[in-house]
Amino acid sequence: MKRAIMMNPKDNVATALDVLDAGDKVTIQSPSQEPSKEVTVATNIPFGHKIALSGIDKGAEIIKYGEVIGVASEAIEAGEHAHVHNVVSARFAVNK
Amino acid sequence: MGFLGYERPDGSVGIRNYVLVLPANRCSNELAMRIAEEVGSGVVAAPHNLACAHIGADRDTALRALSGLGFNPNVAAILVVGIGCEVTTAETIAQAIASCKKPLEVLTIEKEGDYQVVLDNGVKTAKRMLSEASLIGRKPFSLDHLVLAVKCGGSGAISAIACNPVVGSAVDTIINQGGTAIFSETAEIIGAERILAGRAADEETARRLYEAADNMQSRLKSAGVDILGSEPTPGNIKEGLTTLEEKSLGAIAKAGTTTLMGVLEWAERPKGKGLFFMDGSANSPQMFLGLAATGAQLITFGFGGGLPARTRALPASSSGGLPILPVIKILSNPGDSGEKDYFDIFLGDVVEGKESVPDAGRRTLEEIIAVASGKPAKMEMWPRYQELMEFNFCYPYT
Repeated sequence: MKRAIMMNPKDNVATALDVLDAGDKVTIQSPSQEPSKEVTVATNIPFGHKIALSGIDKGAEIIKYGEVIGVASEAIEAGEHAHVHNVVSARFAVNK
Repeated sequence: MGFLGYERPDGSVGIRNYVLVLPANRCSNELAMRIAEEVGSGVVAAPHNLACAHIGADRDTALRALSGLGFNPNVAAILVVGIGCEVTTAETIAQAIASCKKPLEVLTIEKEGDYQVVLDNGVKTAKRMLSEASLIGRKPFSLDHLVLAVKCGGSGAISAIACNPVVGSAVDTIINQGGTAIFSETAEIIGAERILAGRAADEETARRLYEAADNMQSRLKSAGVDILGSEPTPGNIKEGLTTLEEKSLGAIAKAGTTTLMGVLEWAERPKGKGLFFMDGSANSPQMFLGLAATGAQLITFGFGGGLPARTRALPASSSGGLPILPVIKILSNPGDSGEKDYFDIFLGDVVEGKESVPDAGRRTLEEIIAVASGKPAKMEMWPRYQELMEFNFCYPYT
């Protein structure tokens, strides 16, 4: 069973502990390795990258470690890869 | 729990027993290295990038760091070599080191007459210092004498799952036993300042923490440089880190959970025990020099994995930069198990769910104690190459 880790109960993203392929079912576990929910993978996600645990609106905050780590630059679907193509820093404007 | 170390005249405890040949500035780098090479193992030079061209507060910074190297407890004796025409002379540096009460001598071209005389007398002096140092034996010390520095590099999202919390767990144990731990890399607290400030022992520490992070950002801004050009790095992004805030929140895990006792200037020695943050760059030659000057005895370097973990020979690390600060390398990614012989600790089992973070933390502390007590770290068993150590210079130079 493929796994992803949710660092804090408030998070809306989890980190893939296996390579995730679209269609996979992923067990989301806590840092003490206790399993909680299951999510269906929507897009391919490399090892160590983030999977969205729910739909995230464009402009909404990305929460990891219970803290804001960025904002969605595009709308993100549940189970989708969340990374530099759809997430930007909330603190630093990207120089285009 | 304890380790075997060398007691120094000022009460500090070393885990290595080196004779240090310290050049007054970079014009004496070659001479210092030649003296060290002629005598061989046990004598090391610390070539660095201080030049007469450096001015203002950078001079004070350099003197603080050079003095700190002399005070580092892994150093048994110091030979300062110089020419006599430097802005900061060998004598000035020796005066700054003198109160460590270790064997200390100065040789300059001005006093000795020429390069060859300094070389010959330098070799004789270093050999004598080495013989005397060899008489100092290791004695048992409890963990309250341990001063561990921690760094992460080649970071990926996996660093926050394996190497950083595992090191943090070992750091917590060391602090709870009365020891000291120091972390640095100011760019990588940006995004996590509030969390760290919340653990500060006092208002001043919290204030200095924010100030360090703000100063770094101001400096970059006034130079017209975008922090996003280097933080997170392309390597970080490849390994899953999306923003600097995400990187920093994962990075601070390596500092454990205890009270932040103070914020140190780059290369400043802490005045007490516990957890400290040192303001400074993540650039290894600068970071290792600054940490060695704080009195750190060894440093753990935790890697996520992927391409950044495959360099095998770390920049500026023990074999090739600063032997007086041994480096313990830690690897997180089970996908990089082919590289694990080049690391001291492999944490693939933590990522795969087969080992808990606390168990890996205990195993890591055992390795730290073993290396402290004399076991060579992997980077101490690597062919010698020489890299220049760098100061945290902030001013333009002439």
